[in-house]
Amino acid sequence: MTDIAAANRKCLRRLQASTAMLVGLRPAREVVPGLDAGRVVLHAGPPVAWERMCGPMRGAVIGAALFEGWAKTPDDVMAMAAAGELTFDPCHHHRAVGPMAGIITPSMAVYVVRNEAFASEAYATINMGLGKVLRMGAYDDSVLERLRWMNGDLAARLDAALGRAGGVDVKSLISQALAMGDEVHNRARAATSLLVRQLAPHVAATAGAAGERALAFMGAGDSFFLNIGMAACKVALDAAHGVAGATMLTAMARNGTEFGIRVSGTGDRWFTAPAPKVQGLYFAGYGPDDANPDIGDSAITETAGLGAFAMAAAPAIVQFVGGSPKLAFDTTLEMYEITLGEHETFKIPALDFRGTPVGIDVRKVVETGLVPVIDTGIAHKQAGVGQIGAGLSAAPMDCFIQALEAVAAGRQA
Amino acid sequence: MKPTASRLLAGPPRVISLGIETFAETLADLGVAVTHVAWRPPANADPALAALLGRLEAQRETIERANREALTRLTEGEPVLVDCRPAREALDLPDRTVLHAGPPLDWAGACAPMRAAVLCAIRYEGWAANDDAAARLVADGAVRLAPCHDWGAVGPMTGMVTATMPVFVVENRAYGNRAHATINEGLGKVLRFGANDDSVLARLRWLMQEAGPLLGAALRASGGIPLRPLMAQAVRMGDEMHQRNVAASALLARALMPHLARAGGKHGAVARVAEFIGANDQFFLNLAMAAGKALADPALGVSPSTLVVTMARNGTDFGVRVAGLGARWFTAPVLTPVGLYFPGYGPDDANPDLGDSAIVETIGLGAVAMAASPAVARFVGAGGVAAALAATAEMREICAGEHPHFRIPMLDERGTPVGIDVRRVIETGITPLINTGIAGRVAGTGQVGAGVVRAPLACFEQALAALAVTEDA
Repeated sequence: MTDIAAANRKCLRRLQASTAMLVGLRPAREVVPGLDAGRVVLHAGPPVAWERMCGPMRGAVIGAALFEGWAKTPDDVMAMAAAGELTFDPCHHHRAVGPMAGIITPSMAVYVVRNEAFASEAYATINMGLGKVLRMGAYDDSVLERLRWMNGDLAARLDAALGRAGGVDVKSLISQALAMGDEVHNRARAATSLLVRQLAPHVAATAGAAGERALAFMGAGDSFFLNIGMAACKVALDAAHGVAGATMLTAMARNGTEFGIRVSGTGDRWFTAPAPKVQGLYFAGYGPDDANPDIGDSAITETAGLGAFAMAAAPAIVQFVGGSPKLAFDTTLEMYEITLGEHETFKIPALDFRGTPVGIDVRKVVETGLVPVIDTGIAHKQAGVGQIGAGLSAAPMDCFIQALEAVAAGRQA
Repeated sequence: MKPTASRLLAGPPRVISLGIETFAETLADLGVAVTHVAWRPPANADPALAALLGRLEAQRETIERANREALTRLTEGEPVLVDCRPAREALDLPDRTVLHAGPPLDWAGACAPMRAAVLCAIRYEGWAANDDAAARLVADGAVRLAPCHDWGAVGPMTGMVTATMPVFVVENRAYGNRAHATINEGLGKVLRFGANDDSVLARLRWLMQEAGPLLGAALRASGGIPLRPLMAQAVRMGDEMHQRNVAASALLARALMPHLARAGGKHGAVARVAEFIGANDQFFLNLAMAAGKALADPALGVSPSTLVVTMARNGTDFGVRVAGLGARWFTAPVLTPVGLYFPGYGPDDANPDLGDSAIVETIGLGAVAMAASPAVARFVGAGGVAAALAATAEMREICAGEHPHFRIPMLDERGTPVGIDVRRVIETGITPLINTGIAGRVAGTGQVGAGVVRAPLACFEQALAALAVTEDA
């Protein structure tokens, strides 16, 4: 019989040993497995059929299909989806992750993040910024124009810049950002600034004055880095996935309808429960009645020891998600109760450089009754409105109970 | 009611101990509950200083009113980075003048890094072909030395500014004044640490010919970059902006890069400048200093305020200027920092402290904001989180207020201590703490470490005496 402790140690060791080099930006059809043919639409979270998709995810599917030129009008897209002419699949099944709706289609450019320790890769699209954005389900002409520019001109310039730079060490950049008040989920201001600073000379050298829009776009919002950080987390957790007997989580993801987790030792199976509501602060004019249930693959950051797990590194975040700085410290301290170890690279100055809690153990979650906390944005339940707030959500305990049962059943078999 | 003495004997004693800890310790050893109050007689029990404090006490209300005004000026200014141009244009700085850090410098008593930097700056300007000729020009008075502070500028470490060097221009839009600082040269062999070889000269020429003009064009096109919100943001990101400027430098780069891309005709030049900025985590230091001077200058001359508006070191002396006492310097021999050394160096290699950079402590950043930056506490060898919190807490004892804009998330958004009050320094005996780089004492060495240093108490004693005299007048 497999020794669970040894399996978990192996799992955590693989996560800790993983590297994350951002090496380029390529069209998804060229690099993402399974996107080279057909009308494939990848989405956030565990599998979900068109009929059960929430508003923001449907809106994002419409925008992506219009961008791809598969249909001329939103109605046509909806008819195609209902007729089964679009193939839906989770990003997670394709070594990819996407924030909020998380839509990836073949013509979109994706970052290529390479884990050199395990010769694997992970992918994520370019973050679109704030306001009307595809990931929140917006699909008007301004969104389509930006999609065309981002996936054309911007992607080509960034790919050339990354080539000239010889890649960017994302793991090291995240560890610096943690010392600068980011938790790299809802706050990526430092990481974004450090990335811009690092890439700017290469953008200037390869694009000249035409790099102005690229540089302005990268620096305009604080979340430009988020997607890259997510890909870095994915590529590390994929390396830890599939260790027989291990009870460590390798994914937490939401599709706006359901919350799903995957466990290293139980393969590619999802354990799901209805997606929770987010508790947080709303932008002016919005309230809890407008909120969509929790959505997005971005909880991959918490799974890798960032986000709410690293909240003590980012006490300023409570102004955004609600609560007091003490909440930030308490959240991190509580997450040590359900994790297998402390991150060797991601450290928190305010805790005297203690590593962030990392490696969520299904057994510890069920035993303590403490569920993972996730630091997240709140999307409007209607397609196209966009982000209306930010807050904290709690992973549903039911996912963990199912996972524990599956682990136990696997051991009896 | 029973007589007092017998009541005392009726129950166990409840003891409060003041001052010397021995009494409390002895009682505690005997198992007696005791509350100890750390108390020292004011001004280290110096009767002369206590008398001076007493004289100022008579004017308390007038002084407090002036201090409130000075504190408002220190904290409510709006520094905006508007330009980068040669010192000759920005400061009207004539040829054959070398500006240096700190209070006025006696050339004969100048430390080795300062001498090396002055002579190198003269060679850079082409006023002399070698150090010997340059030294003669200074000795003969053919090249004039003056403090940066007297020319609307501030300089880190040796603080060299000469006519052709490009300087950043920071405009305080709330009060209409301007302050200036050179472009930070980066790490390693740099003029500000007294390095003086050909690599130093080559970098200075590149800054003059390519980086300065390009930065100037980008900044003019940008319409100005507001620095106070950027600095407030950087405090929230773990910078104290003296020995740690990584967040501020990255935020500035992010704001500046699109303008740089637009301003640059030649791709190569933009890329070189962008690379130079991106490679230096201390790039923002000089801007924090220029912003500091732009913020502090409007408070100079608010009478009879007892708040410190300048702290600066020239490698020999430490100088302080006080809001209510105008441009007058109060100086004392500067101390040598205590800290961590780069591999191969130790305390014997350290020069006494130098640079105008203590302006950042004057405006509520640097060591006084250590709690915002546990990472810097490590870098300067001041210990961990607890030590960082203690440093900021100690500085609150000598400061008049809390910064309304520079707030520390970890302290529940409490503002950094700001407005060092000469009276409180004397009363408590606590001198301002400064985070600083350590220059090698041998000319040409460069930086050998980083650490903390205290301002010498004697500066504040002199300032207190001057304040008391002014009050009597």
